[in-house]
Amino acid sequence: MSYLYASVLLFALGVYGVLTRRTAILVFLSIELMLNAANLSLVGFARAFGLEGQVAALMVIAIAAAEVAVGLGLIVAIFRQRESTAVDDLSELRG
Amino acid sequence: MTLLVLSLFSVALTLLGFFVSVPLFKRFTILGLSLALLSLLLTWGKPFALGPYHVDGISQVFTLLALLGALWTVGLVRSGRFEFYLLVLYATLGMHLLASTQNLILMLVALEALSLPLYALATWRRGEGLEAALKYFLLGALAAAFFLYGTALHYGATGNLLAGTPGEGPLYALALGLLLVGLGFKVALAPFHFWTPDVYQGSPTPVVLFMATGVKAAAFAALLRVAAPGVPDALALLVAFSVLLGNLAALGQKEAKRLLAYSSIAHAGYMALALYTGNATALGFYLLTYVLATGLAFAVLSEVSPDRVPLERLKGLFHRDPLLGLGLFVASLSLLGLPPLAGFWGKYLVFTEAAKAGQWGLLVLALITSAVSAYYYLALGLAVFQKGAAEAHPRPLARGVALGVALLLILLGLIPGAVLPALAAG
Repeated sequence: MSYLYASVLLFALGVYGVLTRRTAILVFLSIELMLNAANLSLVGFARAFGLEGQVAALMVIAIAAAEVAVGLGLIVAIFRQRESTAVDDLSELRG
Repeated sequence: MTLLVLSLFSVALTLLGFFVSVPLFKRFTILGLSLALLSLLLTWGKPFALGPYHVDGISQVFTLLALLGALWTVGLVRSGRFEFYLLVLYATLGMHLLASTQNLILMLVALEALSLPLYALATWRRGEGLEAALKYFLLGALAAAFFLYGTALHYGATGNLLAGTPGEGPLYALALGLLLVGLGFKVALAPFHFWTPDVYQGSPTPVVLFMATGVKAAAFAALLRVAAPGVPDALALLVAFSVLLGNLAALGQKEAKRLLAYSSIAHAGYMALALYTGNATALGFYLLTYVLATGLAFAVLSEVSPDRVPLERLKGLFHRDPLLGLGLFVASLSLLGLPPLAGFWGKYLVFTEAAKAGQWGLLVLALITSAVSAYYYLALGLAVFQKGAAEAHPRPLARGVALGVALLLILLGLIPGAVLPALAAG
């Protein structure tokens, strides 16, 4: 059970980070924290239910890497254009 | 079969893109999507399973809608780069996979396979496009994280990774809730809709067409599977929020794409109502009418301008180009749900199912908000008849497709029974 508590704590930290951080990189980092929290609980549960959870965790690592490739590309493109990655600056689209 | 065609074309075209000209590449993409459509129709109603890949009725209906959206987008767009078409193809592959599996991890892979190309497509116009894409990306990644954590808890509660496994206890309820949040982001159910207006406004219109049709179809298919053993009661709240917020916020909009974005939130609410009352056929039919009508509206807008389209710029469209003007008029009336158009029967089916299930509170709310929506749909539809100097330079094919879809909407409205058996059998 301690795995579950640790992963809930990690997930909650991630959610807190997403809500409070104001730069795109740190928000993204918090989201990665949430993914890893899920990984931890998958592996933890795999102790009780067999290998399926561990395989799932490996898949998630690959998915997270793909997400990083696209996400960091986007953030770099934004930074080149505005010299800033603060999410509060993204306010052209309103209505 | 469909999976094979789509993946074969995605891989082959990735290599081919560097050697052939862009117009030829576009034809290859259309060929691939058409072959996938053909293989889907040839195997209609025949289930197929290989490992975690399950083709069944739900998968076929929702894949059909996603393929139609993809074909429409590819046909509409005039891009100078082959990557655009390739990304649409990859996203379609993800949509088909998402609709055709019960394995939660494979669902997550499919969800990313459809989302990552769309993040890139949203940036296609620099400037506003980048802002829209970053918002879409951050909220999409957050949704994926919620979905994954839901998957992990689901695994802990039931011991396996198959969506639709019955279970009980607080851990299971929490898992379903998190899965619901993750998919709610993707279909733009309020209160997880923040990204929708900005992304729809900032992205190129053909891409928005794809988002509004394909992504919704695929994500609702996944939602159907997750909610199979018993719909969580929290969905009722999402339905209420979505129909209220979507319709009320749309009232004040002066820009056509933003207006349609709020309308898409409201429609997601009506579709979730069909899901809540547990009728897959009603959901499929509603989604079909929605895909046709909203696709038509975005297709007309993209012929007017790939950029923002304030309602002012639509004035006089009917005089400038009668076919496009009528197309937008028919599309907005169908979205409103006025008889004798297809949208009416979609709403009729959903509302009668809600009445049968005894969901009177939600039904009354849906009816009232639906009446409220008349204000903005009529404003959008009637703008084309007013005096003004609308510009449009449509190609003959775009006008032909607009005419065809408008006729289809009217035809489906006159004889809705024609497709219902096919949807129920598929």
